[in-house]
This record gives sequence, structure tokens and C-alpha cells, in this order.
Amino acid sequence: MDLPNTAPLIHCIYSSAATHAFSPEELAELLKKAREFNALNDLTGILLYAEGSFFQVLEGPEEAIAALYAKIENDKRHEQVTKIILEPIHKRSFAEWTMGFSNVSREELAKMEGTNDFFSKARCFADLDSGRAKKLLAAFRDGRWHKTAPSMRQKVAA
Amino acid sequence: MSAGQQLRVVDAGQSRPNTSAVTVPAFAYAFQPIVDVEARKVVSYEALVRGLGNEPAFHVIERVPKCNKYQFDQDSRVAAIARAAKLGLACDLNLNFLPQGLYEAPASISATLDAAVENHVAIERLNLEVTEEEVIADCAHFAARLNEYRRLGLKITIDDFGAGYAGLNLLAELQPDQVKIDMNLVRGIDKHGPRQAIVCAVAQVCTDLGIDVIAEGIETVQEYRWFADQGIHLFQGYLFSKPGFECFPPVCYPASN
Repeated sequence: MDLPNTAPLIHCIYSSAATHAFSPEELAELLKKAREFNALNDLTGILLYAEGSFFQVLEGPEEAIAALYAKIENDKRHEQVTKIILEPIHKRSFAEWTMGFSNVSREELAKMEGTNDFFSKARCFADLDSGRAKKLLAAFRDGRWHKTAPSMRQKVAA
Repeated sequence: MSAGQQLRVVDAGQSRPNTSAVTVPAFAYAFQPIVDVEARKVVSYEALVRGLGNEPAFHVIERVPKCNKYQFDQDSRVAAIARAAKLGLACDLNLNFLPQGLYEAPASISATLDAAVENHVAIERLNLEVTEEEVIADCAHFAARLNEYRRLGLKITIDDFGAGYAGLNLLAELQPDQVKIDMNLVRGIDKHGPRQAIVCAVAQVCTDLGIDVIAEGIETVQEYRWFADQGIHLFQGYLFSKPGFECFPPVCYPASN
């Protein structure tokens, strides 16, 4: 059997620690910009924000992901950027790119385009194929891969 | 399983793989279910080489000339897929694979994929099993080669995990879809602290990396209950079902408490 000659798809799954507590407004801004960028670059996936941790599944053409991940690693809004999985995939798990926030009410979320229900009804999670992305999202939901920046830790202690 | 039993996959009785003039023993298959006890269903069958009279795998393999080892490995998968398709495969199929075949028999995996297409088995249903021991020597290179096929949906299982020296290090280079816990760790685990500690660590790493854990070689209800208590839900072993000679055998689900 011949290997396909279309642009190979990969997914990259990472977690990181926000360097400051993101307000709903900041998250909305991040969401809007990332939605535009990812749509233009054929990138799909999911970004979650919970208790100062980010967790993202990005899927798309290998080169687009490599370029974006290099930018992500240098983004000053987070630290401890930890690559968990980078591997080829047969097909996408996500039809678009969305974000989920644990600190934004359901009513607020409903007003924003491109949010998902991961932290409420979790229909976006239930609908996923039982692949790597789903298993790792389940791990994050259960408290694995949560990262906390030292500055945020002090805040919690105070 | 011992190294001599690695070639567990293989062909239906009537067909002899086309390996030119060299004699290859005729062989058959047994299929052993891998079950999900939560969903109470068979998620895959592992194809195991047998003699025509259901003799164990090594009876067949010891008669394969050394020079034909990888060709036999390749042909056996092709035949296993055809046989499983004929039996009405409606779940995954786990096939054993000698990683060295990537170099010794370059068409090794592509022949397997072609057989899947011919028999209308989706490639996403195929799970190649390689033992930890066989992969460690050249892990990064092996992972890179396999990734070409994973793009097509092929899944990878590390068999006998915990048996070799590489152990968890292997997972730094290669994150398979599944690992099968080595049977020597499974045996009597309900009464054995060190084995429990090792398996707990393996299970934790697998959870963090999105790898399914299969407890293989389960023979007693006590062993099963210990694994089930850890949240492990994929099992293979006599307790659930013995390998079915040339058939998909029935499964027995033990009570969980």
C-alpha cells in the first residue's frame, strides 16, 4: 500500500502554567485571536484553562503545528510549556478549534463564539473518538498535567 | 511469553505462505479475545499461531527455517487477517510483529495493510504487537518508521511490558496505543506487594500519556479483581476466554465483587 501524499496530519498535546490569573476578558481576547489564526492555518483542536493551567490539543499539518508550537513556547503569558505528545494521526478528532474555561459561567460562555462545554455538560468530550486526545483530556479533567506558576502559587497562599 | 513463542499470529490450515522453494510448516490460528469489562464487549482478538491440530505456536515456529523467519512473520499476518475477516471480524485485531522485519522484509507492514484492504478490514482495526525487548535496541528509529504507518491508522501495542530492561524508558521515545502488562507481573498480583507497586506505576504513566493498559494472562478472579480495583478495564486471559481454535470463542465475564 502506498503512503498518502497529502500534507501529513499530526497532533501536538501540551500543558503549561499561566503566569498570571487570566480574566474572562483576557481569555475572550485570546479565544478570538486564536480562532482566527487557527482557522487560517487549517488547525483544529481544543484549549482548556483551569486553575491557572493551560492544556491544549492542536491538530493539523505538520509544518503549521511546528511553527505555532515554536511561538507558543516563547509566549510570555505562560511558562513550563510541556510537550506531552507529538505524533502522526490518521484523522482529526476535532472539526474546529474551541476553548473551554472552568472559571467562566455557562451564561457568559453562551455569549462567546468558539467556546466548548468541557467543564459543564462535556458533550464535546463525550462525542470524541476514543483516541489519544480523549484519553489525555480525561487525564487533565482528573487533575493530571495541571501546572502552576510560582507567582500564582504565592497568590493562592496569600 | 518466551521469545520462541513470539510468532503467534498466522495462517489458515489450508494455505501455505508463498515463500518460494523453502518449506514452511502449515499452520492455523487461534483467536483470543481482549475484553472491555466495563462495556462488557470484545474489543479485539489476538491472532495466535497454532499447528494444524491446535498444537502450540512453538511447534510451528521451530520448524520455520531461520532465513524465513521474517517472511513467515509477514505471511502469517496476511493470513491471519484473511481468516479473521472470514470469521466476521467486527472489532480490532491484534497481530504480532517482529520489528526486525522492518529491515529484513521491507514489505512487511505494507503487505499487512494490503491484506487489510483486500479483506475489507479497516486499517484502524489493526494493532501491531511488539515486545518491549524487541524494540529497545533501536527505539527512536523504530518509532520514526512506524509513524509512517500510524498515519494510516495502524495502532501499536507494546507486549510483555515490564518484562525487559527498558521498562518505562521506552515510553519516552515511543508512546504506543496500548501496553500489555507482562504476565510475570500479573501472576498472583493480588498477594504480591512489589508487583502491585510496579503495575500501579506503569498504570499511572499510561494514564498520563493516553495509553490503554491491558492486563494479559489473567487466570484467577483474585488477579482480575485487583486490576479492576485499579481502574483497569481491558483484559485478556483464560479467566475470560481461552484462545478459540479457528474461531472467535465465547467470553465469560466474572462477577466484579
